[in-house]
Amino acid sequence: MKQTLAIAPPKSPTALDEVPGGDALIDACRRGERAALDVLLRRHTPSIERTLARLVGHAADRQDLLQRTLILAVRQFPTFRGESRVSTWLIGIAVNVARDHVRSGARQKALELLPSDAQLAQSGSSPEHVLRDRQLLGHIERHLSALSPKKRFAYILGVLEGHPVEEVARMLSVPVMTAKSRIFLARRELRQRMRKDPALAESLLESSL
Amino acid sequence: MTIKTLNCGRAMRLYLNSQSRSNADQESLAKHLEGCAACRQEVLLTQAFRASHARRDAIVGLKANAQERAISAALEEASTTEAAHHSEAAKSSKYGGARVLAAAVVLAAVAALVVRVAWPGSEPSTFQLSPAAPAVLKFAQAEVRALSPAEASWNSEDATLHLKSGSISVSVDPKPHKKFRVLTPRFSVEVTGTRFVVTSDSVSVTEGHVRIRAVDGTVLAEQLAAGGRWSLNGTEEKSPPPLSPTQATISTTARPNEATSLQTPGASAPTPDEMDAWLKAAARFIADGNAGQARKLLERVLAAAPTGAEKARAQLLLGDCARLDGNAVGASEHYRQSSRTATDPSEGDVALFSAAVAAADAKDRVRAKTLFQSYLTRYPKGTLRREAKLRLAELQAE
Repeated sequence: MKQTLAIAPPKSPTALDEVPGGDALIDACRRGERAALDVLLRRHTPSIERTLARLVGHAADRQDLLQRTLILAVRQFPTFRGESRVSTWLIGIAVNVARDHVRSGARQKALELLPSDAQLAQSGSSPEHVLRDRQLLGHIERHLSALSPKKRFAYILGVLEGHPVEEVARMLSVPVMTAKSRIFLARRELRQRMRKDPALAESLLESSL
Repeated sequence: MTIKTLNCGRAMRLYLNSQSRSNADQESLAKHLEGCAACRQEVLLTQAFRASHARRDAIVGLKANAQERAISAALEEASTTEAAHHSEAAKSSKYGGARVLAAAVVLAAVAALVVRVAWPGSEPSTFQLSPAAPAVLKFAQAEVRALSPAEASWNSEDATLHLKSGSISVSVDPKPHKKFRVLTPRFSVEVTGTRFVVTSDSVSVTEGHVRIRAVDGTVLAEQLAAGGRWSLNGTEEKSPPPLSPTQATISTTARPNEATSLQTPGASAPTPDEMDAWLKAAARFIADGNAGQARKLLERVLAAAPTGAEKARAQLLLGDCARLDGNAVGASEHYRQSSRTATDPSEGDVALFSAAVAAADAKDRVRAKTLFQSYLTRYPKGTLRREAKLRLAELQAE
């Protein structure tokens, strides 16, 4: 079955860095000024939170990770040199927090990270849909979980979040070629996995997801 | 349009890098995907992952109040760090042996500052400030920046900053019953909550008011108010009358590198450069958390027959002012007006999204949903469309 594919991956969220007064805001944040930090953190928290959710799953302690990321950002702001966009720098901190979390063995099994039946049911789906969604989400999460953390982080940031590879390299604190190579290896591994599970993507597109 | 034949590597690179994709690339990619099952499968998988994550975010994403708690905790950390600096500064001054007071109070930019211990014993340490270093010194309730190379010392017991030479900008947080004094060799400035600039022979007040005394205690200027300037050679300029859009003199000297002086002589309307400078100055006030001053400038911009783009920027910044004041309803309205008048799609994009977010913060779910829907209709390829979809899904799920 052939379908028309929508081929427009998400753009990197650049607009948040380009709002009026951005430079002055960042300078004020470097000086530790609370009002400026308040404005800036509010702008970037949704994307930091989303990235953390991608990296560690929807774990119950995600709020702790978000809080840790924001606190580190506040502490480290005086050292922000402006060599990258502030959003890239903030996501880099979130990546480090997520990496520590994964290293500490706190990452739960894939299925435990999925929404519960009750949460799925709250979204207004019928019981049949809840069951099907849960199976499909489980399938997807297993494929991603099977990747090593290094490849998974690179894949999530570069492919799923749509950040340019140069920014991914900054976020992961690795050379650009290393980031490229990790993304490539992750894609290749997922492709191989897909060959063994060809019905998955097609059925996902047909699902309500 | 030339449709190229692509290999799989090039096709997937094009797919994953949408920003550098032209219409011809788009066609070539579509053609490749039609004929290549492997690439088609990978595109499907990528889309499946994205859809899966978006769905899960909508269902179990952190609610706004959880994000709020995390932000509050981080800001608390910022305040604690600031308080620790203050306390360290006070301790350093109390114990005479500790002569590194300046080093203790300079935030992380300590390396940029030349610190020098001038004399031993119980006398306070002298330190030098340079405008080249973007450092801010915090003394009790005051923030001090250098406008020219300056030499000063701090005595925490009587909350007095001794300015030996140079000029500094001082911003004092108003706290009842707490005085702050700047003592120069020839006069002293007493303040309770204001912002002003001191050189060795003059004082300019940008906010609040100050009293100036001679070294022998004689009052030289009883109350120098915002906009006023006093100098030792006897000139005292009263605060200027309220500025009209066509007769404006604004001086923001709170930052050494942000000094702005705008003058529009006669009755001519402000030039685009001047309007731009007003907007930038307002943005700086917002960054400083000073919504009141920013609002005054922005109202001046709006009263001076702005262009559509200037009006949009002013409304966007007025929205930020309302956010700073905790007025989410007002912020939403300003952002919406900004999105209506914006000529630059990227600014309209941010403004409309911000209007929706502010409405959600104001617990006006109906308005928030309408605005998110408007955003997705008006900017189907907007940079914040994913966020908008997620927030909309979250609102619909509630």
